[in-house]
Amino acid sequence: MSKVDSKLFGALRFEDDQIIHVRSGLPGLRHTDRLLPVSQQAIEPFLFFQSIDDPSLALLAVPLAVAKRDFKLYLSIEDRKEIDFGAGEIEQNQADIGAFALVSVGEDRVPTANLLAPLVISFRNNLAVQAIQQVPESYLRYPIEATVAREAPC
Amino acid sequence: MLITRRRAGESLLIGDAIEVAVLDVSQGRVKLGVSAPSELPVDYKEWRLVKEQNRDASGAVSTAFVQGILETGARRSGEPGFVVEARGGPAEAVRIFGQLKLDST
Repeated sequence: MSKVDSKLFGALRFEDDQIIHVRSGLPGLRHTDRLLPVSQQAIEPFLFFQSIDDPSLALLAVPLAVAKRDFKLYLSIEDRKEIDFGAGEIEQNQADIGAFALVSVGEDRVPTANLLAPLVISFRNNLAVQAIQQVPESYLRYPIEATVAREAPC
Repeated sequence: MLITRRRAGESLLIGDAIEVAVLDVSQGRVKLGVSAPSELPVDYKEWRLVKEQNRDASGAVSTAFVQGILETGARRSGEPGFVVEARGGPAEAVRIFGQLKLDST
């Protein structure tokens, strides 16, 4: 068992098979090639992706389908290769992947989800890629406050 | 915004140092060649936007905001607090993610 001393959560212990590997890292961010999903029942449907190599970095995220229920994910051939899926293979094994939108929050502004580039994770091999979508530029900051409130468990 | 038509093999010049050449056009896609000084970064626009947004997401997790979520969650669950844990690995996320719709286009 390994440990990361997260700035946000304190000590987090984890097994190697809990690590999500982002081979290319996340654009613009260092130390994001190994992420640990941290879910807390009290804040579902939100969850965090804690960087293992940068204890100060924890990215807030929300499942894509919660941010926008009817969102259809597009995965290019290059993105599929990043998570070791062949052409057409994902369509046959949709339960093997999940997609999460990174969330931006701040004082006095509505939380927004990045639907332009969701983090797509293969649960088969724990590989992930930030897959750019063919959607309007406004989806980069898609307001989620009302959506999450409606979708959150009671 | 300058709107113009160019054919394969033709170019645009931007100032004295930047050339954008149309190399090929086929199947609804345009292959471009860009010559620019090395100190000028050339990015896909969406890539640049994602970089900036990722940085925003990395720095904007406000403690107050998270506490607000947690307090709301605690009120809902009726529990005084909650246990922080990394549980179940990525597969656990399937449970809260549900079924994914793929765009087959």
